[in-house]
Amino acid sequence: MTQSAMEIDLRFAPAATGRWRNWWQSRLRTSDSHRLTLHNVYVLPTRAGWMMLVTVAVLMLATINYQLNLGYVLIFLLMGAGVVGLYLAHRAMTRVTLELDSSQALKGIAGEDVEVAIAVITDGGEFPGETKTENLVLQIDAIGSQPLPLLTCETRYPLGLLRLWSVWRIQSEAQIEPPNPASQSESPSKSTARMVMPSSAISTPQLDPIKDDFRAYRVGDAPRDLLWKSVAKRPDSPSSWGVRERDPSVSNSDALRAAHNASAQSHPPVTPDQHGLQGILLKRDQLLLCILLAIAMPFFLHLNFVYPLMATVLIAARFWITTSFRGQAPKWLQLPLIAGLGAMIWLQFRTFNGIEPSVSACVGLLGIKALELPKPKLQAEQSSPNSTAHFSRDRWVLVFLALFTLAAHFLVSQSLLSSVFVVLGLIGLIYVLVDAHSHRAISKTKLRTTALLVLLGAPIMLVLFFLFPRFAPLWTLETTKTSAVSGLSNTMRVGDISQITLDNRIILRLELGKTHDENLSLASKDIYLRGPVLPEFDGRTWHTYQRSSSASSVELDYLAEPPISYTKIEDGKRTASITSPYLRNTRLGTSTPYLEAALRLPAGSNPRTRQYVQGLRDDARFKDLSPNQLSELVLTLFRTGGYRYSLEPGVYGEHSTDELLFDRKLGFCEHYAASFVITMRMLGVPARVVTGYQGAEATSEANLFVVRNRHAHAWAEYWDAEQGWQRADPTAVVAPARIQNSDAFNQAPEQIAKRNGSAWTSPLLSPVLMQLWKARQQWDAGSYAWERWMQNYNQGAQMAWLKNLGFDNPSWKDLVQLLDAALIALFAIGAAVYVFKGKRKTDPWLLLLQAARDKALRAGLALAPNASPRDIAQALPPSWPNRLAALAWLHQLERQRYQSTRNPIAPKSNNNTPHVATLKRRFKSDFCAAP
Amino acid sequence: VTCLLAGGHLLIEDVPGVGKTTLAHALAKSLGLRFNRVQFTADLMPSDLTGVSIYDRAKEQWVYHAGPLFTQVLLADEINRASPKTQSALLEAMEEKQVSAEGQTRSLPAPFFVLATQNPREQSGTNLLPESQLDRFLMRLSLGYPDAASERQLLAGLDVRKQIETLPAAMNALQLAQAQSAVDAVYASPALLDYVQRLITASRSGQWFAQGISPRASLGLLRSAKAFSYVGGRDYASPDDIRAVAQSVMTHRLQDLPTATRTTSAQLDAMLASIPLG
Repeated sequence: MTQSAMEIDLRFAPAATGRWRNWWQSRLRTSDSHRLTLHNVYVLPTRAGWMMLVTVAVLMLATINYQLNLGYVLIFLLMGAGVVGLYLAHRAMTRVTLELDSSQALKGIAGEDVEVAIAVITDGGEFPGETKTENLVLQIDAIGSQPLPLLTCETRYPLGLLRLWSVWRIQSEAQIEPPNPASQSESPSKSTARMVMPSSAISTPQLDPIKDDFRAYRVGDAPRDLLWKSVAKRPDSPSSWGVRERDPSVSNSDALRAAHNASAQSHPPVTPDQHGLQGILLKRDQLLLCILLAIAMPFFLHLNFVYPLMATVLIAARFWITTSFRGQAPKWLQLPLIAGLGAMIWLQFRTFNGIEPSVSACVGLLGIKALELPKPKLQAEQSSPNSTAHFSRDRWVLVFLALFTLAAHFLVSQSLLSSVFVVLGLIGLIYVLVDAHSHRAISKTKLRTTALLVLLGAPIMLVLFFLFPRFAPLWTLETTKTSAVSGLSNTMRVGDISQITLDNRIILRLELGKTHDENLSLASKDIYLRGPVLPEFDGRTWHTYQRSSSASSVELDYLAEPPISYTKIEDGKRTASITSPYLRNTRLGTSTPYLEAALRLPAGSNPRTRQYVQGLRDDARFKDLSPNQLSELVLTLFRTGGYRYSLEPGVYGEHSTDELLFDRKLGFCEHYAASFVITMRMLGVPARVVTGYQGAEATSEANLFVVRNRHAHAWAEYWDAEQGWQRADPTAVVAPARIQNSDAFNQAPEQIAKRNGSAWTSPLLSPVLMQLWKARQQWDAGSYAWERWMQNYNQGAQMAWLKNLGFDNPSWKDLVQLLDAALIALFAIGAAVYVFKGKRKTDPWLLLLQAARDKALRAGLALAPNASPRDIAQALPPSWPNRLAALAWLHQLERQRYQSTRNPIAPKSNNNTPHVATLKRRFKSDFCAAP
Repeated sequence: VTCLLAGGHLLIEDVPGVGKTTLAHALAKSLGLRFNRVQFTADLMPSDLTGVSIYDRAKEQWVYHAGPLFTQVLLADEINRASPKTQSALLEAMEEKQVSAEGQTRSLPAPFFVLATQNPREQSGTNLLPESQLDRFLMRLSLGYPDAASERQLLAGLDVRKQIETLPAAMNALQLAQAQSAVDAVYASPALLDYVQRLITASRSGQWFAQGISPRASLGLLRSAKAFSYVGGRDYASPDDIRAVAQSVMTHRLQDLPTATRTTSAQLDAMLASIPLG
């Protein structure tokens, strides 16, 4: 911040064209010193800034429509950083004075480079009077005393979203001499002959370089091309008139050309130090790619792995290209990649609408765009990594895309982890921008700037977040989710559930309502969460009714009275429901075709079971049994048949029920549920498989349960004409432990111990693992608290909050007023701090001197209020503790301020001038040494 | 010596008989420069200083006879006894280091250093030096009476003037020029310049003095401070240097307020004490 002069670019503007501009420029006052103040610095967003505004507006709309509280966090943090960025840029500009270095005369030769030295002086701050001299090169073709073109000093620091600039009309004029004095003095008569009117002079083959744009008059030349005055004005011109050559390529000779254009033509395209520059730009690209990679990574958790994998591979490929200096990826690759991405999305979702396809597309596009990133272009005239030209449009597009991707992340997950990740990603992007738009080579100062942007932006973000009114969605959105429940699909094949059983991901959280009876404690075994219901069986796979892929969500299947109200928190969204006995029936399920489907069995499957069941049906004892009793009968078979529960029963053949019931007697919920349903159907009772979750993890809160993927379960329901669909869980009779204490049974430590043996039983590792286990529980609790809070912070919460503040009948208008007041207060505080800081002696040197003087005063010395280090040194009595060290310290203090840091006349003594901070550290030890 | 290094002229003001002339003489002698002494009297004419053209009969042309001004060190003794006309003849010589006489401009040798002595204005038979001329003197010093020990030594010792004759030259003109360029290179940090500017602004503010110091004086102040620090063996100037030379450089250029109760010097001290180091 303090070394702000570094962030300013100086360049000569090309000669102005247009009447208005000329008028405006002529109004500027000329001077040889230009102090940047509020009055002569102009601010406008850059093109990227406008794009950022559009991006933020789109993000805002999306946030409102999807009711994403975390989206607000992202947007407001970005806004806060933008506001702080404006402040930083303003600070960087307005403490600067530009001065023309008057020590050297502005002299030059026409058509050659004229060096203009401009001193950039920063005042105030920690390093008073930092001065930097910039040498600008200029070409002036006209000779004589020529005014310099306008000098523009501008900065896009720190984010590149705003352009702050100021225009300086330099008073001094450059003295331009004719190019080749030798040829001038050579033959004045010759030049006279050439320039004087007679057309015979045209034959002179060699044209003087400064006059190559006009020639002698020929008959037929248009009168408007005659140059009278401008030629006559030239001191070297022997003739009073000539004709301007109307060749556009050389016609600008009277105009002053900007230095950059000129040197671009005259210098070879790559100078040695531009290789270093290239390296810096490549590093910058690599940083950007790293951040993008980090942004794409977490999507592995939420999306089909294909999309993040695609992004990762493409970004990594582009990274590899930067490291191997290979320029850029071939352009033809983009089309197939985009087509491939589209095809993949279509194949998976059959639509491009909806959240998941869009997010997938966003992630994929991020990778494709990253691959497309062109090689950093070096413009020959730029010898320093001046950002403005190098952070090209493609890079900006990548940044915007990354912002969208970050926001999209909230669409798939709003967990604490996601929030942390998104905020980190945003900080990373801010750093990339700061890095690209700061001239500093040291990353520490850039990190500091980034930290400032984020930390000063955070209060703005918080105020906006809390007080920005939450609107209802502006228009309704189709929020259908294509896959109903993560982990469960609309089909079931044997083995499906065993896979997800090993997964500890949290599927949802279940919060039991307060209405429910205090005495009634819902045990884990009572919690059945019904997911997709699968009545159709083709001998191998179970399907939903008529194979519909309609979305279904999991609901609590609890039949006792009174009904329980519960809230389901899934993917950060809360849904409140009440348990209902009609639940099982309301989902299709009662129509005749449905019941027929629930009886259908593929012909010829499971012959041994069929035979066995036929035996049962023929048995007189079992005649006229109700479906209820039949179900009990089958469950008894399972209970007493010596069946065992195992997650790794091996592969089953075509007649899986036969195999299970009579041969292997080994299986898990799917096998038993399927076998139960098949047996019931053979007995003539409509039955169906239900998938969902069973059991839940208790938390520290009594009402709160966590359902993880490993709670996935399958059970059965059979049709009782009187009572409707009834639940039957054959797994419960085979392996009661799985149901009654699903947690204990399934709990990761035991399971891992069973599977892998060693780690959990080893006395050394076991406590560590237990700690990890506990830490995970805590993280889950914190994460849940976060999600719940984030979700609950809606308009209602805002109003309740306002009510607590004392608003009787709060409305969103009050909220807006409060928001205004808070923002105004925030900026007032900022302004007050700024003003106060400006008035206060912030100069650390003075503070240090003051400290030393105070110390001396306390010791009884008489010192004037403006005593200098030398005064203090002279006043120090010989009895002063460690007097020599104190004197040395004072001497260094003096030298720190007044000694030149550059071009010392005499070689400095061994102890170089230390920094103020060093002196401050040594103040206690050297100056205040204990006796 | 500071004054000489800063390339300015020196005015020594004190009552007669405290050794002004002796000091000037000793200085010139020890510097090893060409030394001329002019006793200013009421009837001294400008041409007595600058020189005149005399017709040389042998060569049959006018020959310019350079006056005593053409020297390296000019001791203008009791300058305020001369008429204003003569005093102003010194003006051009002091500032531009050249003499215009009889339509010709002749430059003076370098270094050119005017050491002037004067008696306080209350003394009889004096013409007050105009402000313009005072401003051309970089410093005005006052010797004051010697302290008891020095006076004792003086009384007991030899004739001082004889000692001067035996004084060896400590340096020559070339060394002096080198030293002067070294003084130029003494570093004045922006913080110091800020301090000087505050000082100047305060002197012109009307709060302390009726008339503040001129830009020439502020340049001289900085230059003197640089020279002072150079004499002190440093390559940078600090506010202490400014304060050390402020009295000599500033008092003769400042005009007291009509309501002043203190002497110029005391008033300057008060002003210096009020300006923060910043």
